[in-house]
Amino acid sequence: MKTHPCMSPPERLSSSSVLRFHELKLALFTGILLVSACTTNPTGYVRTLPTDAEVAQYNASVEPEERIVCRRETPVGSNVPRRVCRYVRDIEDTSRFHREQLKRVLR
Amino acid sequence: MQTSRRRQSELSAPHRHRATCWLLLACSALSPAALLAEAPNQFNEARAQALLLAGQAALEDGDLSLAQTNLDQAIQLFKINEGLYSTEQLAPIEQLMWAQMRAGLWPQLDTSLGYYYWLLERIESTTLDAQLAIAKNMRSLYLEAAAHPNNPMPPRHLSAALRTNWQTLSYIEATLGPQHPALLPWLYDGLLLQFIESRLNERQGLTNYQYKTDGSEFISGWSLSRREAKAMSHSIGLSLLDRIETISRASIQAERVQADDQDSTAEEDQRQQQLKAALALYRGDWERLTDNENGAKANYSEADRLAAFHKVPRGPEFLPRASFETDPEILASETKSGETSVSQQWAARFPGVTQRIIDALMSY
Repeated sequence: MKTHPCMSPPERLSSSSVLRFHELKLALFTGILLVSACTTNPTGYVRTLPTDAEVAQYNASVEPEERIVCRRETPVGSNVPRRVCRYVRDIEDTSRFHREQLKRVLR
Repeated sequence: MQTSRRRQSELSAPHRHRATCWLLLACSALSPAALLAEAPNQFNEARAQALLLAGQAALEDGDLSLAQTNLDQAIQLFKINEGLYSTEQLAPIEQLMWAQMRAGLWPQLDTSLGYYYWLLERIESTTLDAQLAIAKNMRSLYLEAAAHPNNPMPPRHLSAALRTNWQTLSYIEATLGPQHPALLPWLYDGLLLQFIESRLNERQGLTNYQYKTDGSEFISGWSLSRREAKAMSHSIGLSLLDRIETISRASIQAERVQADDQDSTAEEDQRQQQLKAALALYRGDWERLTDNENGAKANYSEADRLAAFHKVPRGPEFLPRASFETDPEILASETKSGETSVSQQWAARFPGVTQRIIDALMSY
């Protein structure tokens, strides 16, 4: 039987397909929730990270220590990598701090 | 003793007077014109221009040493005649930088670059076109420097070319607005430069160079792996194509609003369809260049919805295309015209970058 593409899903699918459709809908809903959790902070303000092209354009116009580096990181306790952007000066400060800590421990 | 010394001076006095007279006579005998011919005015403007032209000619002939001498003198004369912050200095400094770069004089080139940028900051009365011409010249200079066989730091100059392109985009956005069609050629050139950088990434050890500081130290800690750099380059290319699409679409709409008649609506639809197909073609090219053949096929089939796009060549040897075009006729003919220069490589350290792409980036 041919179905019209505009018909609602239960009308054109068998019962097993309906179940699969509900599972799919649930997965999609969960996915949307996860994504929105990543991009919305508690105040409701949508936080979006700059694209690679925006970062490159920004980096071209600032001093080296003001540049931003973005990369995908997998945080501790998760298997889902996420994109993290940091200022070069922060990276340098952090690595300097870690070097000093290491020196202190090894002393 | 005193007496004899006085007598001596009394005796030599007539001789001194006679010598002075002879000198005066000789001077008066020489005409002012003859004196001028012997010692021309070293500071006249015509001389500075002549030195500039001689320098340019020597640069074109490949006599880099003579070019540098003439151009250096021209800069000094312009400085004296026109002032320390004069725009007249720009042309000879630009030529001098080309001569120094081709001669492989990297420290001297850095000094000239420093002075050039210092001077540019002090020159206020320039037009947008003049600024864009300066940016394009600098981008070409950096590109040629990156390909120079004796360059100890080619990625540094390639990064400078990319940075110049991004800065120019920011400058046009600030001056004309973020949706202005003047951005289009610079956006597409950005894509070509991104491709060149991706070829450099293929060479081990150079991937992270763009995160190098302007000093001599590498940023410790966070440097990207080659795979990450490749993914980033791919993403930047797609973003540039997205921006080209947004601006072109808005531009076509704006033209229709200005025309405001029934025929123009039909024409706009046709142009929008053509734009959509062309963008799909370019996205397919970009995917093919990053070895994503499935992505390329999907985009090419999107482009093929317009029959006229079937005949546009898509072989990897033609990619990336030298310029952004939406007309399938022009796209086909331009791609085929590049066929003769397909095998002509630009530089040994940039495998897969043909001279055709560089010519497109350096053309005015």
